[in-house]
Amino acid sequence: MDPKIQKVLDSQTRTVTVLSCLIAIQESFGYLVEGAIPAVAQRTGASVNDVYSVATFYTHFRFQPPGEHQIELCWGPSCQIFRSDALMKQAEEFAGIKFNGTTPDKKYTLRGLECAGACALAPVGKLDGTLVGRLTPEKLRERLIAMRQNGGGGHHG
Amino acid sequence: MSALRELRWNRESRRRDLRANGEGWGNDVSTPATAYESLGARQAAAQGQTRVVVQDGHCSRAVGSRAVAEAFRQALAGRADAVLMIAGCDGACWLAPRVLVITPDGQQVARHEIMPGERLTAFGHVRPEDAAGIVASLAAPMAAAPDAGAFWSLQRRVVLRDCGAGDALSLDDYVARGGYGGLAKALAMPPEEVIGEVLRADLRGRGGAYFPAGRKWQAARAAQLSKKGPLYLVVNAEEGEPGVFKDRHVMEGDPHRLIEGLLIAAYAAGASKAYIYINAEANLSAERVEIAVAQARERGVTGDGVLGPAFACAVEVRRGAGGYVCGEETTLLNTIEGYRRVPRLRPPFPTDAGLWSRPTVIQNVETLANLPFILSEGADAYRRIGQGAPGTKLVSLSGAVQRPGLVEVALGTTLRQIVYDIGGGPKPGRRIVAVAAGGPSGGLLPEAALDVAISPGLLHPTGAVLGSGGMTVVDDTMPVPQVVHMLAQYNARESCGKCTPCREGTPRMAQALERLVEGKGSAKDIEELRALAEIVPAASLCGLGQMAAGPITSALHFFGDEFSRLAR
Repeated sequence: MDPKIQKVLDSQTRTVTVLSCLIAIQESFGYLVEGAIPAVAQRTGASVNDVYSVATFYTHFRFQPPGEHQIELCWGPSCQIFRSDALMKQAEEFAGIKFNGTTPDKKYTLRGLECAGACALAPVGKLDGTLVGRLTPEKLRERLIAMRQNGGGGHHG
Repeated sequence: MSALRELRWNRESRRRDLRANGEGWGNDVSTPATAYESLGARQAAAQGQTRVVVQDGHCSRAVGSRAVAEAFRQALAGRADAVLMIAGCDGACWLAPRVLVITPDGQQVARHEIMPGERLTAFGHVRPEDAAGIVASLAAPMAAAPDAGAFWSLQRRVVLRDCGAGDALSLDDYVARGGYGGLAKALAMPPEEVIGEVLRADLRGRGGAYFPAGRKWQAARAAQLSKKGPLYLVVNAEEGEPGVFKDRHVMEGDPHRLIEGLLIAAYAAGASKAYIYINAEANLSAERVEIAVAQARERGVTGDGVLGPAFACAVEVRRGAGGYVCGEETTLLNTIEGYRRVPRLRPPFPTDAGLWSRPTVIQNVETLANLPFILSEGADAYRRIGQGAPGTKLVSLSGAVQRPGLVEVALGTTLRQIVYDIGGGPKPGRRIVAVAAGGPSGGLLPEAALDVAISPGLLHPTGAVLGSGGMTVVDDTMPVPQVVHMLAQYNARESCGKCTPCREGTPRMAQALERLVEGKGSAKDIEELRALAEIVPAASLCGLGQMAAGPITSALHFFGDEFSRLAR
């Protein structure tokens, strides 16, 4: 087992399950790194097949490193009523790819949120992990341009 | 000595030691009442000072409340007469970010009373640059709060009583507000009596199924008698249903109320371990609940002794990893055990064989947050609230109204009152067409049917349910078939795939609706929708499939013309 993965798995202080191991790895590395699945199987006694089925079931997990910047827009009903589709179009134009996906240069990841639970401030999105409410296409565009100019990133949302 | 017996013996002897030394719960720990008294001995930090309360909930953060809190922290630095307090949101989301000023002397302009002798002023849409001005004028009478119409007057706040005004990060503040008093009362009664009181209050599960909480506890107790070993309490704080944001407000704004309710239920049911399951997106809820759990453990409210050595209950927070799959409680158990979130066959019911096959009581956050009131004020006081059925309901009001937010109303309040009086009705120049009650699992109610009073169960035979209290208001900017299409798409994406009719049927329904909405549909599509709306619910294991047809059936019933026009 990769010692880095081992360290993460051993650092769990509570009830250890397949899911808790996968969450711990993604929180630490930003995605499920190579070797994660067999490591979790070994640690929990579950089969590789079982671990893989859990990892692919939950929408939270990804097998590729995320882009430098995370652009997440809510597609819940309240946000859709407030035309989140226009926001999504704006984000797609900005990044030059469709939802969900990561640009080839690994700069931006676009992801739809099932519901961010801030429906009274619809439409909402999450930009580099920060929830933003009462969005308009103009406001989103401003924030995206600011995101591009500030550079940096590295936030694993 | 077996390992288990040794463990038990160690725990017993530790309790005896604690009792003998008077450690952990103050000097006299013989009864919960005295343990509770010693808990309240520390005074709330802010007594005698003006409290500047910044409502910093996760949705308020989306419109800048953290920057507002930081600005107030700087503006209040060095002031001895005023303190900054961080609270959750009070539900007036359309005014977020919000700041309250609570003075100890009653000199200020009052909107409503928070505590005897205290007065409160509320500000809405606060910007960081407002902080200095507000702090400079703390001593002077303040401008009145923005007009909120009937937003407050029609509410009956039991669960949300202190949400937005109470310190979200302090056990002492909760105790100063009377908190943990209901737990102390419960612990002085035999568990059966607590169950009796809760049954008399007729408290039903607020997650949407409205099963009597006390009966669940009885069933689990009975099951445990025949199976030696632990009984678990699982708090369902998943709240994955789109359009619902009530439990988050409770966990962010008054986390100790949840823990008090949890401990009352655990004591009554006989649970020695509780898991609070919080979804992957609700980070602030998890953060505040973790803080509250740690405080409670440190102060002898949870863990090896709950207000004394007679009852022990450990509390652990667990996180999910996305996915809706309804409020289906058996899927929750699979998630906590760490597996895929698919439903289990019932029976056995979780009260017989739930988490790790042990008897398990599963309750929603809102249900548990009602218990402190029921125990401290009594079942009779609770029964006096509401018409038709006792108690209140948290309603997450969103969509096309002027005042969206989280509200708590007595059961028996009509949807029209919620949408028009509390919510302020349509935006200028718009017309309300329907309310999607119960989100993608509920149904659409047309404007003309809004006089229905909210009550557990169906609001209309075509599928509109009170459910967990999500109300998304639809106005005339978007045609009804498009709204239904969007809800159907949601269900199709979220179907877990275990039951074939749901896995295959929900996308088929979404595709038929898509053809209609895009003007490529025919009468055959409507026929297919009607057929699938019968098959999918009948052949699905869990709530997602069973309720997935609700929006379609109700929309075809009430807005059939709009669909027929599209089918030509």
